[in-house]
Amino acid sequence: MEESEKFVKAVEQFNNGDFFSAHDLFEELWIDCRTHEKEFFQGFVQLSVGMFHLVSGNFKGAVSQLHKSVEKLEKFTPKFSEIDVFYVVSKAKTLIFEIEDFQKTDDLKSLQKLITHYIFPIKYHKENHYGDKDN
Amino acid sequence: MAIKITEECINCGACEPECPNTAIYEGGANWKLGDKTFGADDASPDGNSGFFSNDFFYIVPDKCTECKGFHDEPQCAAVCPVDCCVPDTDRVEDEATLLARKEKLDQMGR
Repeated sequence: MEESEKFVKAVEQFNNGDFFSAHDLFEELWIDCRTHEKEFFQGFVQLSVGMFHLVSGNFKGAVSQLHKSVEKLEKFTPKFSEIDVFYVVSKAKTLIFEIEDFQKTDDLKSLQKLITHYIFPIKYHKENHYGDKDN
Repeated sequence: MAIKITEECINCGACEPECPNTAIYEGGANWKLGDKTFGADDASPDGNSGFFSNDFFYIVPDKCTECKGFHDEPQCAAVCPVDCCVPDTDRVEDEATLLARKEKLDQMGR
């Protein structure tokens, strides 16, 4: 599979909620990459793992991974490689805030019920924030 | 200090084959030192405890030299895609101690 195909497939898996498979493909891209994009791919590995930990109920692991992901992806905002990185980073930051807020109140069971509400897609920059393609 | 694996581990297994000391084990697996095998409840010969994990890969402090004597940096940390192989601040050791451990492991087997 070509690098671009692999990336598209990984995004698709992420957006379908298959975070583990997405992490695997992003990881392959990260391993093979020898340019500055390496950090971009690792940001998506960590984003996928953060989401995987989130849906698995490992909130501590989720927050750590999301923080690491944001740290890397912020370097590629607002847009990079056709991805609306600004959108992804903003959503990840909101998610971190929400998890940490629930951790403070020790109300993680409520968070577990709301998880689907906080899951967000990786968007291409030709789409607007409502998921429609811009002309 | 030894390296430890945090709960961020996704069990990808990338670190395990990279360890020159065979100090990394899959969650729940028994670990070996020389000709002896140890389980979750066994005390380590160096008196370390709390490192065993049933859920994700773990590093045996008795066998970790932070790759001293082999590489310039810990190989587990270098290959970990989620940056979860980190220095264990509860087990701080100087270079001489780590190199002495490598020598000991060379002699007794890993």
